[in-house]
Amino acid sequence: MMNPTKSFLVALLLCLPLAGQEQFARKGPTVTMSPASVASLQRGKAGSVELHFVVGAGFHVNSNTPTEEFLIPTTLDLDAPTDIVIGRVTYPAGKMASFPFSPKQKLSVYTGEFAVSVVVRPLAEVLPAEYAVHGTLRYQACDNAACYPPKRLPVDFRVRVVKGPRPPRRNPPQSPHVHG
Amino acid sequence: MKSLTSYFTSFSWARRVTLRRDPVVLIVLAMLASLLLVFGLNPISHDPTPEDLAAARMQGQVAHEFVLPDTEGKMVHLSDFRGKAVVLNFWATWCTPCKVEMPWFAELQKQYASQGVQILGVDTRDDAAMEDVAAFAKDIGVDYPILVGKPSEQNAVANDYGGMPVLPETVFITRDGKVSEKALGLRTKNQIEESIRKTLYQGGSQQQIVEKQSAPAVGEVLRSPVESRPEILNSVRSHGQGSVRE
Repeated sequence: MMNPTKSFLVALLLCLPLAGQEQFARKGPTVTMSPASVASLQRGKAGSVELHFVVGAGFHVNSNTPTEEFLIPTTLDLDAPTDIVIGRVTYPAGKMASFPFSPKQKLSVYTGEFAVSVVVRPLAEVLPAEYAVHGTLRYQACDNAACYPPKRLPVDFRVRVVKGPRPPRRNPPQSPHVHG
Repeated sequence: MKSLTSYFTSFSWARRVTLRRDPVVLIVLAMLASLLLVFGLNPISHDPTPEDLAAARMQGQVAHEFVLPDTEGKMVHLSDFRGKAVVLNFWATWCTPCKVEMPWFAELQKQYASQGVQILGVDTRDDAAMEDVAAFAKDIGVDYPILVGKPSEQNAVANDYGGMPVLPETVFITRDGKVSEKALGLRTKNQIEESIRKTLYQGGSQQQIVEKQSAPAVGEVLRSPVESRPEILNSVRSHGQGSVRE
Protein backbone atom coordinates (compact mmCIF):
# COMPACT_ATOMS: atom_id res chain seq x y z
CA MET A 1 0.00 0.00 0.00
CA MET A 2 1.19 3.49 -0.82
CA ASN A 3 2.60 5.67 1.91
CA PRO A 4 -0.20 8.05 3.03
CA THR A 5 2.01 11.09 2.65
CA LYS A 6 2.80 10.02 -0.87
CA SER A 7 -0.89 9.46 -1.54
CA PHE A 8 -1.59 12.96 -0.40
CA LEU A 9 1.05 14.42 -2.64
CA VAL A 10 -0.06 12.37 -5.61
CA ALA A 11 -3.65 13.48 -5.09
CA LEU A 12 -2.56 17.08 -4.77
CA LEU A 13 -0.61 16.78 -7.97
CA LEU A 14 -3.60 15.22 -9.71
CA CYS A 15 -5.77 18.12 -8.60
CA LEU A 16 -3.44 20.83 -9.77
CA PRO A 17 -4.32 20.49 -13.46
CA LEU A 18 -7.97 20.96 -12.47
CA ALA A 19 -7.07 24.21 -10.81
CA GLY A 20 -5.12 25.28 -13.87
CA GLN A 21 -7.98 24.35 -16.14
CA GLU A 22 -10.39 26.55 -14.24
CA GLN A 23 -7.92 29.37 -14.18
CA PHE A 24 -7.34 29.44 -17.90
CA ALA A 25 -10.61 28.11 -19.30
CA ARG A 26 -12.63 31.29 -18.75
CA LYS A 27 -13.38 32.70 -22.17
CA GLY A 28 -15.61 35.69 -22.09
CA PRO A 29 -19.36 35.63 -22.00
CA THR A 30 -21.44 32.55 -22.65
CA VAL A 31 -24.97 32.60 -23.95
CA THR A 32 -26.42 29.17 -24.49
CA MET A 33 -29.69 27.89 -25.82
CA SER A 34 -31.60 25.46 -23.63
CA PRO A 35 -32.68 22.33 -25.52
CA ALA A 36 -36.07 22.99 -27.09
CA SER A 37 -38.72 20.30 -27.25
CA VAL A 38 -40.25 19.49 -30.62
CA ALA A 39 -43.22 21.77 -31.15
CA SER A 40 -46.29 20.20 -32.68
CA LEU A 41 -48.04 22.42 -35.20
CA GLN A 42 -51.10 21.89 -37.32
CA ARG A 43 -50.54 22.58 -40.95
CA GLY A 44 -52.18 25.72 -42.10
CA LYS A 45 -52.31 27.08 -38.57
CA ALA A 46 -49.90 29.36 -36.77
CA GLY A 47 -48.41 28.20 -33.49
CA SER A 48 -45.96 29.62 -31.04
CA VAL A 49 -42.55 28.18 -30.19
CA GLU A 50 -40.63 29.35 -27.12
CA LEU A 51 -36.87 29.36 -27.21
CA HIS A 52 -34.98 29.66 -23.96
CA PHE A 53 -31.54 31.17 -23.61
CA VAL A 54 -29.21 31.47 -20.65
CA VAL A 55 -26.71 34.29 -20.14
CA GLY A 56 -23.68 33.19 -18.14
CA ALA A 57 -23.32 34.43 -14.58
CA GLY A 58 -21.63 37.82 -14.29
CA PHE A 59 -22.60 38.89 -17.80
CA HIS A 60 -25.51 40.72 -19.36
CA VAL A 61 -26.60 41.21 -22.95
CA ASN A 62 -28.56 44.12 -24.34
CA SER A 63 -32.25 43.50 -24.63
CA ASN A 64 -34.00 43.71 -28.00
CA THR A 65 -34.76 47.34 -27.24
CA PRO A 66 -31.64 48.89 -25.74
CA THR A 67 -31.91 52.31 -24.19
CA GLU A 68 -29.14 53.89 -26.24
CA GLU A 69 -28.82 54.42 -29.96
CA PHE A 70 -25.53 52.63 -30.58
CA LEU A 71 -26.08 49.64 -28.34
CA ILE A 72 -26.51 46.40 -30.24
CA PRO A 73 -29.87 44.73 -29.62
CA THR A 74 -30.29 41.01 -29.13
CA THR A 75 -31.97 39.70 -32.27
CA LEU A 76 -33.04 36.32 -33.54
CA ASP A 77 -32.83 35.52 -37.24
CA LEU A 78 -34.39 32.28 -38.42
CA ASP A 79 -34.17 30.46 -41.68
CA ALA A 80 -37.09 28.08 -42.09
CA PRO A 81 -37.59 25.34 -44.70
CA THR A 82 -39.84 26.02 -47.66
CA ASP A 83 -43.55 25.96 -46.77
CA ILE A 84 -42.88 26.84 -43.15
CA VAL A 85 -43.36 30.52 -42.48
CA ILE A 86 -41.66 32.29 -39.61
CA GLY A 87 -43.89 35.01 -38.22
CA ARG A 88 -43.51 37.51 -35.46
CA VAL A 89 -40.62 37.12 -33.04
CA THR A 90 -41.49 38.40 -29.56
CA TYR A 91 -38.69 39.34 -27.23
CA PRO A 92 -39.10 39.76 -23.51
CA ALA A 93 -38.87 43.23 -22.01
CA GLY A 94 -35.39 44.00 -20.80
CA LYS A 95 -34.58 44.36 -17.14
CA MET A 96 -33.60 47.95 -16.38
CA ALA A 97 -30.32 47.76 -14.53
CA SER A 98 -27.35 49.95 -13.75
CA PHE A 99 -23.81 48.67 -13.62
CA PRO A 100 -20.65 49.67 -11.78
CA PHE A 101 -19.21 51.23 -14.94
CA SER A 102 -22.08 53.70 -15.10
CA PRO A 103 -24.12 53.63 -11.89
CA LYS A 104 -26.41 56.51 -12.85
CA GLN A 105 -27.37 55.06 -16.20
CA LYS A 106 -30.01 52.37 -16.56
CA LEU A 107 -29.61 49.88 -19.36
CA SER A 108 -32.20 47.49 -20.72
CA VAL A 109 -30.60 44.06 -20.49
CA TYR A 110 -31.17 40.34 -20.24
CA THR A 111 -29.43 38.39 -17.51
CA GLY A 112 -29.82 34.79 -16.47
CA GLU A 113 -32.57 33.07 -18.44
CA PHE A 114 -34.75 34.72 -21.05
CA ALA A 115 -37.23 33.34 -23.57
CA VAL A 116 -37.97 34.44 -27.10
CA SER A 117 -41.28 33.48 -28.65
CA VAL A 118 -41.56 32.74 -32.36
CA VAL A 119 -44.74 32.34 -34.39
CA VAL A 120 -44.39 29.49 -36.87
CA ARG A 121 -47.01 28.66 -39.50
CA PRO A 122 -46.73 25.61 -41.72
CA LEU A 123 -48.55 26.15 -44.98
CA ALA A 124 -51.66 24.05 -45.59
CA GLU A 125 -50.00 21.97 -48.29
CA VAL A 126 -46.86 21.00 -46.35
CA LEU A 127 -46.39 17.28 -45.81
CA PRO A 128 -46.80 16.15 -42.20
CA ALA A 129 -43.30 15.48 -40.84
CA GLU A 130 -40.61 16.91 -38.60
CA TYR A 131 -38.79 19.96 -39.87
CA ALA A 132 -35.64 21.65 -38.59
CA VAL A 133 -35.47 25.40 -38.25
CA HIS A 134 -32.06 27.00 -38.03
CA GLY A 135 -30.97 30.49 -37.22
CA THR A 136 -28.76 32.67 -35.09
CA LEU A 137 -29.14 34.77 -31.99
CA ARG A 138 -27.03 37.89 -32.29
CA TYR A 139 -26.04 39.39 -28.98
CA GLN A 140 -23.48 41.69 -27.49
CA ALA A 141 -22.46 41.01 -23.92
CA CYS A 142 -20.70 42.97 -21.21
CA ASP A 143 -19.59 42.31 -17.68
CA ASN A 144 -19.12 44.92 -14.99
CA ALA A 145 -16.03 46.48 -16.55
CA ALA A 146 -15.79 45.53 -20.19
CA CYS A 147 -17.79 44.65 -23.27
CA TYR A 148 -17.26 41.85 -25.72
CA PRO A 149 -17.64 42.10 -29.49
CA PRO A 150 -21.02 40.99 -30.88
CA LYS A 151 -21.41 37.25 -31.27
CA ARG A 152 -23.77 34.91 -33.07
CA LEU A 153 -25.14 31.84 -31.32
CA PRO A 154 -26.45 29.07 -33.59
CA VAL A 155 -30.12 28.36 -32.90
CA ASP A 156 -31.81 25.11 -33.88
CA PHE A 157 -35.20 23.73 -33.10
CA ARG A 158 -37.63 21.28 -34.66
CA VAL A 159 -41.30 21.46 -35.40
CA ARG A 160 -43.60 18.52 -36.07
CA VAL A 161 -46.24 19.34 -38.62
CA VAL A 162 -49.41 17.32 -38.20
CA LYS A 163 -52.63 17.11 -40.15
CA GLY A 164 -55.41 19.24 -38.80
CA PRO A 165 -58.72 17.73 -37.73
CA ARG A 166 -60.97 16.84 -40.63
CA PRO A 167 -63.28 19.68 -41.57
CA PRO A 168 -66.97 18.91 -40.95
CA ARG A 169 -68.56 17.30 -43.98
CA ARG A 170 -71.03 19.36 -45.78
CA ASN A 171 -73.38 18.30 -48.56
CA PRO A 172 -72.72 20.32 -51.65
CA PRO A 173 -75.58 22.62 -52.51
CA GLN A 174 -77.94 21.00 -54.91
CA SER A 175 -78.58 22.58 -58.21
CA PRO A 176 -82.22 23.40 -58.75
CA HIS A 177 -81.84 22.05 -62.27
CA VAL A 178 -80.95 18.56 -61.11
CA HIS A 179 -84.47 17.70 -60.18
CA GLY A 180 -85.99 20.20 -62.44
CA MET B 1 -6.54 30.97 5.10
CA LYS B 2 -4.80 30.51 8.43
CA SER B 3 -7.96 31.00 10.46
CA LEU B 4 -9.87 28.58 8.27
CA THR B 5 -7.18 25.94 8.64
CA SER B 6 -7.16 26.27 12.42
CA TYR B 7 -10.94 26.14 12.44
CA PHE B 8 -10.87 22.98 10.36
CA THR B 9 -8.22 21.19 12.40
CA SER B 10 -9.80 22.16 15.69
CA PHE B 11 -12.50 19.54 15.20
CA SER B 12 -11.67 16.39 17.05
CA TRP B 13 -12.96 14.17 14.25
CA ALA B 14 -10.62 15.87 11.87
CA ARG B 15 -7.70 15.18 14.20
CA ARG B 16 -8.68 11.52 14.50
CA VAL B 17 -8.97 11.15 10.76
CA THR B 18 -5.64 12.84 10.19
CA LEU B 19 -3.98 10.65 12.81
CA ARG B 20 -5.34 7.55 11.20
CA ARG B 21 -3.56 8.64 7.98
CA ASP B 22 -6.01 6.84 5.80
CA PRO B 23 -4.80 7.40 2.21
CA VAL B 24 -8.34 7.73 0.90
CA VAL B 25 -9.12 10.42 3.44
CA LEU B 26 -5.91 12.16 2.60
CA ILE B 27 -6.77 12.08 -1.09
CA VAL B 28 -10.17 13.55 -0.37
CA LEU B 29 -8.61 16.24 1.81
CA ALA B 30 -6.13 17.06 -0.92
CA MET B 31 -8.92 17.44 -3.47
CA LEU B 32 -10.89 19.57 -1.04
CA ALA B 33 -7.88 21.77 -0.42
CA SER B 34 -7.38 22.24 -4.15
CA LEU B 35 -11.02 23.10 -4.65
CA LEU B 36 -10.86 25.63 -1.84
CA LEU B 37 -7.79 27.14 -3.40
CA VAL B 38 -9.45 27.38 -6.77
CA PHE B 39 -12.91 28.53 -5.79
CA GLY B 40 -12.75 30.09 -2.41
CA LEU B 41 -9.54 31.14 -0.84
CA ASN B 42 -7.24 32.24 -3.58
CA PRO B 43 -8.06 35.88 -4.30
CA ILE B 44 -6.57 35.67 -7.77
CA SER B 45 -8.22 32.40 -8.74
CA HIS B 46 -9.84 34.04 -11.79
CA ASP B 47 -6.77 36.01 -12.71
CA PRO B 48 -4.86 36.11 -14.86
CA THR B 49 -7.13 35.32 -17.76
CA PRO B 50 -5.55 34.40 -21.11
CA GLU B 51 -6.22 37.98 -22.17
CA ASP B 52 -4.36 39.29 -19.15
CA LEU B 53 -1.44 37.03 -19.88
CA ALA B 54 -1.38 38.12 -23.52
CA ALA B 55 -1.48 41.75 -22.39
CA ALA B 56 1.40 41.16 -19.99
CA ARG B 57 3.42 39.56 -22.78
CA MET B 58 3.11 42.73 -24.85
CA GLN B 59 4.99 44.77 -22.27
CA GLY B 60 8.35 45.87 -23.56
CA GLN B 61 7.58 44.93 -27.15
CA VAL B 62 7.92 47.44 -29.94
CA ALA B 63 4.50 48.90 -30.74
CA HIS B 64 3.27 47.90 -34.20
CA GLU B 65 3.29 50.66 -36.76
CA PHE B 66 -0.07 51.33 -38.42
CA VAL B 67 -1.85 53.86 -40.52
CA LEU B 68 -5.53 54.66 -40.18
CA PRO B 69 -7.67 57.59 -41.28
CA ASP B 70 -9.05 59.92 -38.65
CA THR B 71 -12.65 61.14 -38.70
CA GLU B 72 -11.63 64.00 -41.00
CA GLY B 73 -10.06 61.63 -43.51
CA LYS B 74 -6.45 62.50 -42.64
CA MET B 75 -4.14 59.50 -42.62
CA VAL B 76 -2.50 59.05 -39.24
CA HIS B 77 0.60 56.92 -38.71
CA LEU B 78 1.65 55.81 -35.26
CA SER B 79 5.17 56.94 -36.19
CA ASP B 80 3.85 60.51 -36.55
CA PHE B 81 4.03 60.62 -32.75
CA ARG B 82 7.54 59.28 -32.32
CA GLY B 83 9.10 60.92 -29.27
CA LYS B 84 5.76 61.22 -27.54
CA ALA B 85 4.12 58.91 -25.05
CA VAL B 86 1.14 57.53 -26.97
CA VAL B 87 -2.03 56.17 -25.45
CA LEU B 88 -4.02 54.00 -27.85
CA ASN B 89 -7.54 53.62 -26.57
CA PHE B 90 -9.46 50.94 -28.45
CA TRP B 91 -13.20 51.46 -28.20
CA ALA B 92 -16.50 51.06 -30.05
CA THR B 93 -19.79 52.94 -30.13
CA TRP B 94 -21.57 49.87 -28.67
CA CYS B 95 -19.29 49.77 -25.64
CA THR B 96 -20.81 51.60 -22.67
CA PRO B 97 -17.73 51.35 -20.43
CA CYS B 98 -15.72 52.94 -23.27
CA LYS B 99 -18.10 55.86 -23.21
CA VAL B 100 -17.42 56.32 -19.51
CA GLU B 101 -13.67 56.65 -19.82
CA MET B 102 -13.40 58.64 -23.07
CA PRO B 103 -14.18 62.00 -21.42
CA TRP B 104 -11.40 61.20 -18.93
CA PHE B 105 -8.99 60.67 -21.81
CA ALA B 106 -10.05 64.04 -23.22
CA GLU B 107 -9.26 65.70 -19.87
CA LEU B 108 -5.95 63.85 -19.54
CA GLN B 109 -5.00 64.82 -23.09
CA LYS B 110 -5.35 68.49 -22.18
CA GLN B 111 -3.53 67.98 -18.89
CA TYR B 112 -0.56 66.08 -20.31
CA ALA B 113 -0.24 67.44 -23.85
CA SER B 114 2.53 69.80 -22.85
CA GLN B 115 4.50 66.87 -21.43
CA GLY B 116 4.42 64.98 -24.67
CA VAL B 117 1.40 62.73 -24.29
CA GLN B 118 -0.79 61.95 -27.28
CA ILE B 119 -4.04 60.08 -26.90
CA LEU B 120 -5.48 58.32 -29.94
CA GLY B 121 -8.89 56.70 -29.95
CA VAL B 122 -9.13 53.69 -32.25
CA ASP B 123 -12.65 52.72 -33.22
CA THR B 124 -12.64 48.93 -33.32
CA ARG B 125 -15.02 46.08 -34.19
CA ASP B 126 -17.60 48.68 -35.02
CA ASP B 127 -20.13 48.77 -37.85
CA ALA B 128 -21.10 52.40 -37.25
CA ALA B 129 -20.59 54.84 -40.12
CA MET B 130 -17.67 57.23 -39.87
CA GLU B 131 -19.99 60.23 -39.49
CA ASP B 132 -21.76 58.49 -36.60
CA VAL B 133 -18.47 57.67 -34.94
CA ALA B 134 -17.38 61.30 -35.26
CA ALA B 135 -20.70 62.56 -33.88
CA PHE B 136 -20.59 60.07 -31.03
CA ALA B 137 -17.09 61.17 -30.00
CA LYS B 138 -17.98 64.84 -30.28
CA ASP B 139 -21.11 64.36 -28.15
CA ILE B 140 -19.11 63.01 -25.25
CA GLY B 141 -16.51 65.76 -25.47
CA VAL B 142 -13.67 63.94 -27.20
CA ASP B 143 -11.32 66.23 -29.09
CA TYR B 144 -8.26 64.00 -29.50
CA PRO B 145 -7.91 62.17 -32.83
CA ILE B 146 -10.33 59.31 -33.37
CA LEU B 147 -9.04 56.80 -35.88
CA VAL B 148 -11.50 54.91 -37.98
CA GLY B 149 -11.15 52.69 -40.99
CA LYS B 150 -12.71 49.91 -42.94
CA PRO B 151 -13.49 46.82 -40.85
CA SER B 152 -10.50 45.01 -42.38
CA GLU B 153 -8.18 47.89 -41.44
CA GLN B 154 -9.65 48.11 -37.94
CA ASN B 155 -9.27 44.38 -37.46
CA ALA B 156 -5.68 44.37 -38.71
CA VAL B 157 -4.67 46.99 -36.15
CA ALA B 158 -6.70 45.27 -33.42
CA ASN B 159 -5.00 41.96 -34.20
CA ASP B 160 -1.56 43.55 -34.04
CA TYR B 161 -2.39 44.70 -30.55
CA GLY B 162 -3.76 41.42 -29.25
CA GLY B 163 -7.08 40.97 -31.04
CA MET B 164 -9.18 43.10 -28.68
CA PRO B 165 -11.21 40.30 -27.10
CA VAL B 166 -12.77 42.91 -24.84
CA LEU B 167 -13.31 46.63 -25.01
CA PRO B 168 -12.16 49.07 -23.84
CA GLU B 169 -8.51 48.18 -24.14
CA THR B 170 -5.78 50.74 -23.75
CA VAL B 171 -2.18 50.40 -24.85
CA PHE B 172 0.38 52.75 -23.35
CA ILE B 173 3.42 53.32 -25.56
CA THR B 174 6.61 54.94 -24.34
CA ARG B 175 8.44 57.73 -26.12
CA ASP B 176 10.80 55.18 -27.63
CA GLY B 177 7.93 53.22 -29.14
CA LYS B 178 7.63 50.30 -26.74
CA VAL B 179 4.50 49.02 -25.06
CA SER B 180 4.70 49.88 -21.40
CA GLU B 181 1.31 48.50 -20.46
CA LYS B 182 -1.88 47.11 -21.94
CA ALA B 183 -4.97 47.55 -19.80
CA LEU B 184 -8.13 45.52 -20.36
CA GLY B 185 -11.52 46.84 -19.40
CA LEU B 186 -12.61 50.00 -17.72
CA ARG B 187 -10.36 51.50 -15.08
CA THR B 188 -10.68 54.55 -12.92
CA LYS B 189 -9.40 57.92 -14.07
CA ASN B 190 -6.71 57.81 -11.41
CA GLN B 191 -5.51 54.42 -12.63
CA ILE B 192 -5.35 55.70 -16.20
CA GLU B 193 -3.46 58.78 -15.10
CA GLU B 194 -1.02 56.65 -13.16
CA SER B 195 -0.36 54.55 -16.26
CA ILE B 196 0.24 57.70 -18.30
CA ARG B 197 2.75 58.91 -15.73
CA LYS B 198 4.50 55.54 -15.65
CA THR B 199 4.67 55.56 -19.45
CA LEU B 200 6.20 59.03 -19.39
CA TYR B 201 8.90 57.82 -17.01
CA GLN B 202 9.72 54.74 -19.05
CA GLY B 203 11.67 54.55 -22.28
CA GLY B 204 13.08 57.19 -24.52
CA SER B 205 16.63 58.40 -24.29
CA GLN B 206 17.27 62.06 -23.61
CA GLN B 207 18.61 62.42 -27.13
CA GLN B 208 15.44 61.03 -28.68
CA ILE B 209 13.31 63.35 -26.64
CA VAL B 210 15.44 66.42 -27.32
CA GLU B 211 15.41 65.59 -31.02
CA LYS B 212 11.67 66.01 -31.03
CA GLN B 213 11.25 69.74 -30.83
CA SER B 214 7.67 69.59 -29.67
CA ALA B 215 8.49 67.32 -26.75
CA PRO B 216 9.76 68.79 -23.49
CA ALA B 217 13.27 68.03 -22.19
CA VAL B 218 13.58 64.89 -20.13
CA GLY B 219 14.27 66.75 -16.90
CA GLU B 220 11.06 68.68 -17.32
CA VAL B 221 9.13 65.50 -17.91
CA LEU B 222 10.53 63.78 -14.88
CA ARG B 223 10.33 66.59 -12.42
CA SER B 224 7.38 68.80 -12.95
CA PRO B 225 4.40 66.45 -12.49
CA VAL B 226 5.90 64.82 -9.45
CA GLU B 227 6.89 68.02 -7.74
CA SER B 228 3.37 69.27 -8.04
CA ARG B 229 1.86 65.98 -6.83
CA PRO B 230 4.31 63.92 -4.75
CA GLU B 231 1.64 61.37 -3.85
CA ILE B 232 1.66 60.21 -7.47
CA LEU B 233 5.36 59.46 -7.28
CA ASN B 234 4.82 57.40 -4.17
CA SER B 235 2.01 55.57 -5.85
CA VAL B 236 4.10 54.84 -8.92
CA ARG B 237 6.99 53.61 -6.77
CA SER B 238 4.80 51.34 -4.73
CA HIS B 239 3.01 49.82 -7.73
CA GLY B 240 5.91 49.06 -10.06
CA GLN B 241 5.24 47.78 -13.58
CA GLY B 242 3.86 44.32 -13.11
CA SER B 243 0.14 44.68 -12.82
CA VAL B 244 -1.94 44.83 -15.95
CA ARG B 245 -5.35 45.14 -14.38
CA GLU B 246 -5.47 47.03 -11.14
